[in-house]
Amino acid sequence: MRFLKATALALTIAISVVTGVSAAWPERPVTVIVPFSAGGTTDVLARLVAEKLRAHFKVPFLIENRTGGSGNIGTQVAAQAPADGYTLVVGTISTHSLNPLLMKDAGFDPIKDFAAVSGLFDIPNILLVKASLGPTDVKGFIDQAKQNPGKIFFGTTGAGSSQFMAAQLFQARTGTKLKHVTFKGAGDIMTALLGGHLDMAFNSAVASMPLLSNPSVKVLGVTSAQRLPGLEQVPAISETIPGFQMGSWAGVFAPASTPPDIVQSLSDAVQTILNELETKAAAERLGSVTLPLPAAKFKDFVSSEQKKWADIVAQSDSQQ
Amino acid sequence: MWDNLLLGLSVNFQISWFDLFGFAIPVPTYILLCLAGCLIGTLIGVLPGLGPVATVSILLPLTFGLDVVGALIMLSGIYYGAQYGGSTAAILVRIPGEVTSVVTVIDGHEMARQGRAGAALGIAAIGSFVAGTFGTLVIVLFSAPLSQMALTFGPAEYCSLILMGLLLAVVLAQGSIPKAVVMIVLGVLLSCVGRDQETGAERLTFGFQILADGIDFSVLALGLFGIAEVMRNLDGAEGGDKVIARPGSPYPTWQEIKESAGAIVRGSALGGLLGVLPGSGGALGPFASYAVEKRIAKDPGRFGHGAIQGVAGPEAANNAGAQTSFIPMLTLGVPPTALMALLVGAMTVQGVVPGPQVMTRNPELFWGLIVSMWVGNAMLLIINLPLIGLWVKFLSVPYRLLFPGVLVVSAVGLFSIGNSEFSVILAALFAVVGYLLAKFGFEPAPILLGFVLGGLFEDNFRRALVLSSGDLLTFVERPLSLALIVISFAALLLGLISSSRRKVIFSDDQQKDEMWRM
Amino acid sequence: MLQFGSVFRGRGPMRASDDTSAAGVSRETIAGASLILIGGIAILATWRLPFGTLDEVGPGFLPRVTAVLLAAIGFFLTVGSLRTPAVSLPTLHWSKGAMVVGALVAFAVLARPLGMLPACAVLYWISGMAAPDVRPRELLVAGAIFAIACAALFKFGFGLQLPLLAIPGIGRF
Repeated sequence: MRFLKATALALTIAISVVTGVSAAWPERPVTVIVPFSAGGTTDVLARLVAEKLRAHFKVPFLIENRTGGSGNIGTQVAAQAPADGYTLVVGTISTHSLNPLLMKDAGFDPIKDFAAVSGLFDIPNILLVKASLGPTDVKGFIDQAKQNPGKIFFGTTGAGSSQFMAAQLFQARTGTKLKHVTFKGAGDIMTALLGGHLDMAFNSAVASMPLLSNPSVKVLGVTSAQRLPGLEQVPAISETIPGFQMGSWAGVFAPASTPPDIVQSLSDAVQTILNELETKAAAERLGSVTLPLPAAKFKDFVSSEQKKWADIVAQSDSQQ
Repeated sequence: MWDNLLLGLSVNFQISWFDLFGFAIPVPTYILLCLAGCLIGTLIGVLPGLGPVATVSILLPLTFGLDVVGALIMLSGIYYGAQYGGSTAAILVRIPGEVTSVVTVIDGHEMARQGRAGAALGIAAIGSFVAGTFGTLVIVLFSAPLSQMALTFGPAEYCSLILMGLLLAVVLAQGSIPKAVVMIVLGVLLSCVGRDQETGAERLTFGFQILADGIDFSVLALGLFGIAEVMRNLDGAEGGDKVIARPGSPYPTWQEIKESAGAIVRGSALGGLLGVLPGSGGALGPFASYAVEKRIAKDPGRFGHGAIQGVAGPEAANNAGAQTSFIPMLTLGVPPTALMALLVGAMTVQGVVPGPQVMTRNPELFWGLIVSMWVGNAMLLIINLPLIGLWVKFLSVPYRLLFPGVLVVSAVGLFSIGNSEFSVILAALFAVVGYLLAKFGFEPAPILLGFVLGGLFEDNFRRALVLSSGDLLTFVERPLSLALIVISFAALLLGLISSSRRKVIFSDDQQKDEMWRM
Repeated sequence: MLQFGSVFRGRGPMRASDDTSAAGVSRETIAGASLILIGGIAILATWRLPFGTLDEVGPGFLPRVTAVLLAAIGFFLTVGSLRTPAVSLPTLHWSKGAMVVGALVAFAVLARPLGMLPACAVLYWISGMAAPDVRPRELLVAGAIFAIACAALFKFGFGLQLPLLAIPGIGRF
């Protein structure tokens, strides 16, 4: 009798190991690591999606904010988590493209250590210049920049920030040279811009919205490929510089060896959620657009982003 | 203007009808939300480690279910409620929860040790209320010109302002001035730990990835003050209660209130003015107030040993600053601090774009919020005054049971910073440092000041130089910056001259020396 | 003549413990030496960081300047105090402090693997033992109650992402 029980137990274990214990995923709460502080745009949007995932899968999707190291700490933790589908991470352009490129050792490999599940959102930047600088459109600005190399100051929150990368891309595509100034936060950049102490910035759409009607500042363009819904009066920079596109994107990742059927299941659910009106409206209010890329396409997207930024970084030589 | 204020009042006292078992129940939702915010804020202010930013970010998603006005009222309540709570912790257990409470610790806790905790808490509450009223008035009357003034502050001006702050810090020293200078410099050095923002280079992190974002203020403050204080008390020959209650009424006497009146007025003005400046303003207010009070007092020797003006002034300053820090967000739409950014996020998610348009497009929101600030302050006063009696009773718990509790709450609070046990260990390390500092006759307060101002100084200094393309003269070419530099050095000189005449420095040091020679 | 040692320590009536004859080590000496040490470590740690130019001040600027300043003041402090009469050094009661630190370390180590309840309780108990008038049974009970209250407050009140109790192999609550 005991022998039978033992055999049954052993068989069950063997079968579950072989099938990856994912027969009835998800059975318990799933942890979603957000490597940034609560309240930020990424976090707010992630929480929105997590809530909808809960409704879909009938288990809680719990957000865990693990901040530190510009997002590296949380990402590292996720990379080392068991690949059973119960740990996910919200990766962004910072964690999965820029940090590994700009830092000597981020502690993980964005491609090898992760399975790309789905895209989430894309938060573009807006080109703002102080009114007293002169130019009223992108073309005028490019001309002025070409005539004054190294004399126009742009503000960012540090090398690797979306504002910085947008400016790097801009300089690379237009052949201009701008001068970089760092600030503690997007709010400080706005203040400096309004006070006339700073010439220009590529600030995120969310941070820029209050300034759109302020006479001290001129809004020249958005960095998304098309004009943003809700901000149709602002031209896309791609209208002047063909092919110009960048955005602070975010997506869901899982540890590399997570079973493919779990990845697919998640991917499908997220696509549905992203196509909901409510999600789109929330994203729009936060100056972003949804990025409904299913697993395979998202994987390609991440690879292409890696290459794009590797080129830009090599060009501007900001490696340290 | 009165119309607007009336509008704000009506918004606050608005009643929503809830359906409960078929009965329509009138509920003054916004008042209740304000109360909730104030209570939560006070609680997290008292609990070490957890700050208003962390709490607001945790509670932010919960407010999505509320409408914009309600969400903002509650979140703002949390913010200035935390100021009140922070003072309580500073006075009772010598833990500065926020930068703005650091100064309160100095004289506030001394008063507590002398059995005047109730008086300190009471004056802090009263002073904060007066300052809050003043701050709200400033917002109503002077928002526009003040925000314009704030905009004229560029990196060079900030740099000079912070330099003034650093020089003022010398005045904070109760004892030997050179020793205080050492502490400030040490604080500045500690502020350098972390990844350099401009180049991304790691400084003084010794390979610890966790230190890449720098040392968290709460970790430093809790370790150096709260935990070190526990260690020092345990070391003391007496094993009894450290903070005692004085017989009779725990509240401040009329005499004490009269003495503090001037400090409160001056503190409100200073704090309110400095609070408008995005970024560093809020931190400087209390320090400036303390320096001013010490400077104009007839017997400055009392400062550091329980001078009530040393609590009244800075408390008024930090609360006035908390109110006026809303101005840049309300008038320009620019969030001056991380917390404001969260509030802006709350507004944006609900579809309200912050900025000058809010006044015209959503007047109920704008004026409702402003009036709720005053209502909140009134509520906090009403809540906190009776609480004083409770706190004083709480002090009668034997210390042997109290201090482990303080440690537990601190540890959990510290853990919540970045969800990391490293914060706890680091704080323990700083506690050892704080303990040793006291034994060797050094004051820990200037370290915190140096820490906060050091980082700000470096950022603005480098920024100013980049923007001027390396021209050092930019600091004296710009009139506002020049004025600030001149004032700071003048004040420093005056301070040094008069104190050497009064020989205050040395005799204080003498006393402090004796206390720790065991 | 201004003596550096007295600038730091302060003039005033001589203390009974002062030995007027021998100049020597006092707590300022140790303090000064530590400052030199800290400053030195900082200088070494930031050795490779670029100082930068005026229009692009580098990351090495402030750390190195402050480290040098610290070491310099430390030097004057040490030298000055050596020239003034030796004073007895403060006694440090290591055991109490060590218990507090140990308790905190225990908390840090136990928090994630075992959950908040055990970690808080252990912290309370170990640190509570450091009190001179400790009563073990009272401490045990108080610790348990406090741990429960605290854990509940942070878990349910603030949504702290830490389990109340985690029994390895069974589960996390």
